[in-house]
Amino acid sequence: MSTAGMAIHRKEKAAATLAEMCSVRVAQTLFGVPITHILEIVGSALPQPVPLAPTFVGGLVHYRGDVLTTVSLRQLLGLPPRDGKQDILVLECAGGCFGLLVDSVGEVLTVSSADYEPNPSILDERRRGLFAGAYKLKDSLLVMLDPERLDPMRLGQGHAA
Amino acid sequence: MAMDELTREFLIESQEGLDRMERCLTELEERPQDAGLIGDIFRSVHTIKGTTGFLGFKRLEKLAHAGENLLGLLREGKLTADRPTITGLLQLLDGLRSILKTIEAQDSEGAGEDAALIERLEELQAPAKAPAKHVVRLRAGAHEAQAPSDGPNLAHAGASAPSEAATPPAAPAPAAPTPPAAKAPEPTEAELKPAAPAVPKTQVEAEGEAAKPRGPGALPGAATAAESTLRVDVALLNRMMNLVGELVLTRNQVLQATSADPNMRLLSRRLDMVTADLRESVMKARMQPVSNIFSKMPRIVRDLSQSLGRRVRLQVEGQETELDKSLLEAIKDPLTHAVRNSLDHGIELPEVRQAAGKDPEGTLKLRASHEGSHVVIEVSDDGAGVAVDKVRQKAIERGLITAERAAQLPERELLQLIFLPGFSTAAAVTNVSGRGVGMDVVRTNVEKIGGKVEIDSRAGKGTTLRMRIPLTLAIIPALIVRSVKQSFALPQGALLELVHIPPEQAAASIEWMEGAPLYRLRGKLLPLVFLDRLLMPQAEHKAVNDGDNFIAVLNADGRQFGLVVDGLADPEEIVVKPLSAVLKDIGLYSGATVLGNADLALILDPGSIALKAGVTMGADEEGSRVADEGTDAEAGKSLEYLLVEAAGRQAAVPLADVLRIEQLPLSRIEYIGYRPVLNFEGQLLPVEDSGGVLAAVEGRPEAKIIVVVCREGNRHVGIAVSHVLDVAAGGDLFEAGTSQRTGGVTLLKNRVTGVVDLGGVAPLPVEESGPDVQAEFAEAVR
Repeated sequence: MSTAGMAIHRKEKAAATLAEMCSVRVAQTLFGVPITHILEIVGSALPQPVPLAPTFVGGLVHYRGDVLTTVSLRQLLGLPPRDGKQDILVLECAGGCFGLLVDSVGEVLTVSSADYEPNPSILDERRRGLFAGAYKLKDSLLVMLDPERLDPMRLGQGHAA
Repeated sequence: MAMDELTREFLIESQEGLDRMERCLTELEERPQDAGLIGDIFRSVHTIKGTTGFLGFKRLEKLAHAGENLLGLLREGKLTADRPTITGLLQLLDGLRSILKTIEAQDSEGAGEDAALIERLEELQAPAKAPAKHVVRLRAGAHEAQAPSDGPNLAHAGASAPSEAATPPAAPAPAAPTPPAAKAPEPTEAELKPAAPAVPKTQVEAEGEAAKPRGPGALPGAATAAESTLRVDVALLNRMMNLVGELVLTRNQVLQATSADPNMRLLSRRLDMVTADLRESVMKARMQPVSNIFSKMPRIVRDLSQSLGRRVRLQVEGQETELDKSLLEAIKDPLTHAVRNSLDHGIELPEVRQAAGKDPEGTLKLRASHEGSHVVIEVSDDGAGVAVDKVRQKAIERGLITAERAAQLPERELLQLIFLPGFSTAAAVTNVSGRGVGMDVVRTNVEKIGGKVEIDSRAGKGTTLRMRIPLTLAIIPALIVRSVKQSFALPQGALLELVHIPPEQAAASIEWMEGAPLYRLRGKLLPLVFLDRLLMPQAEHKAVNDGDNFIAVLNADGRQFGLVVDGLADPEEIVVKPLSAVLKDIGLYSGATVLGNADLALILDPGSIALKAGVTMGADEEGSRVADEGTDAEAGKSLEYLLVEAAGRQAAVPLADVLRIEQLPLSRIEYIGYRPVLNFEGQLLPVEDSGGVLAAVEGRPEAKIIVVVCREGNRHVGIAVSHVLDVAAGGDLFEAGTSQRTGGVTLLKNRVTGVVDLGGVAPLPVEESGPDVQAEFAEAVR
């Protein structure tokens, strides 16, 4: 994880069409999370597993005096869990805070809405519910994640249903 | 609605004043001649009246004024505080309260009419009217203004003076205007008061006429008390409590991280001390004496006993016992309910009592006391008691229990049935209680805050309701257990005892009844729940004889079961952190915590585990003996002891001090000089061997010995014994002749048994290593 990349300089550009996204990697895919939703990035954490929890729960981490529930993006995508330490994005959503477990956190990318495309129709049902479209980068895609859709509360309801 | 600061402060102070007044009034009923009480009541009303005039609440002022007149007569001894007068004053109190409530809600007094009440108060003054004038004349001419017939004038004087007195900007609080006014007549004293000279002299004089007879009493004292205290927002205290919780966690981590570094040790010890002190202080700041809620009871008892035709004397003990504010709030309703119940169902009518050969006046006793990390609040009456047969019959009738099971249950347990929802034995539904939403509400409320409630009753003798309330909610003592390679925290409150099963005994000790694991605990079958199987139903589990097993015997809302875990760690005081909703829904965990080693641990909820594993009240019939043993200590005031045998002699160890019992080979015992010690992963435990247990097996390193690990102050000590026999309640013994309670011995199972003196175990040389950093430091400072 490049911590230097976290030093975010918000340039107040006139064009409202530009947005800054924190890029994270899980397996082969590059995902983007709007930096405005990120409270903090916790590097190499070892979440404590919670027996009997829904599969998407990556465990608990201690974060600033609170116990934070994490959502494992890997497990959400149906990928095998990864042993060892992982990076955590602490995200803020309507229901409170939660952690998003990812393989690694990359740099902050500035993307233009001109490069945005919605979810393709051939995407499977589960992923379509999680992703919020993609930005076309020069040599790859930045798959957008919507923190609200990753909220463990919401996932929990989907899980129960 | 935005209320200005002054009004808000006025409301708070007035409410406090009225609370004080209520307390005094009920006392006054017993001691009608007590001038101090009347003075106190007078001041409460007077302060309200003075300040209202200033704030412009006319309705309140008028009512307070009417009351003040009556109280003035009482204070001058022209009236005696008989029952109708006190009733009238209580009505005044209610009237004032309701107006204050309206002000709080709407920022205005509302349009209510108090004429009837004022008239009633005036009527009460009637007997004093005629003689009053004489007395007043005898004293001083100026006092004529005080004569009750001169009401309107007085109202003017009383109302205007405080407002003028408060004009100087120096007057900070609504309470301030009164002292200068009351003091004014003596110029020398008035000069001492900084605010008084600023008041125009003439007005002070004018007020003096009205105010002087009210006695320039204890007001200065009250003022100084107010100066040394400060109102603090509860939210701020909560935040401080959270931060201290954080600090405790950080301290635990620092202590563990620096334990190896000698340079850091002193620093980290200091951090440890300061943190402990800070935590205590913050917790103390949130503490309030139970008198805050006890003081509401005399009024309730008075009103209820009058409406029910009972004669009741209220005794209050341990008012100064302190409890966390939030907990105090939470037990207010259950306590009120219990008191109502006692009056309605407990204490009989005077005639009935007399017929039964009892004092026609019943006694209701409220008692608060500390018991370890709990506060025990008891409501006991000497009434009719609960008829166990009726309870049994009712329970069967309502289908709460089967007839055959009811026949088996001991009386004590039958009584606890009244806490089940929908249970009420009152023959008739009264407006006080008996609507079937009684005791279960008490229990739910008390259990919500981690407390316990139980009832004890003798037919014809009386009933005692006992609530055990934890001192605080945020930090609880817990035992850290290991299972599925993780740490879990088990609240000590639910823990009855621990049983260690070594691998070679596992097959024999744990019995299976068609797939249901059971353990014989002192001859009774205890249902077992394997934590690993519960948490990971799909995974492969180790066989029971593959490694150590520990059974934590738990009591969850009356359900006894043994939770089998792989390992035990030390007990720790944990800071409870809430879990996100999605994890709460799992149902097994009540929260999470960060341990001293920075690990996270989930806090297990014994109740839900019992539920999930299907342990029910019904299933513990066999375990009922265990239940008895678990609660006997609370029932009697006797302590429970662990009965041990050391080299042929029996001895007792206070059960509350026992942390765990270890069985280990003699070879594990090492010696510092001649002193036997045990090394638990670097934690050194001094072993007391006054019984000569170690000597008896000397030379056989494989011989098994048993060490009872106890808590003594901050340190842990071990007692070497040959057998652990039983747990029993100790009885008091008294020295013949002097009847003084003997120390160091107790009556266990009808045998006089010596109690092991844990304090007598010599401390270890602390500089080398210690069992507990805190204890070490404590000794270092001494």
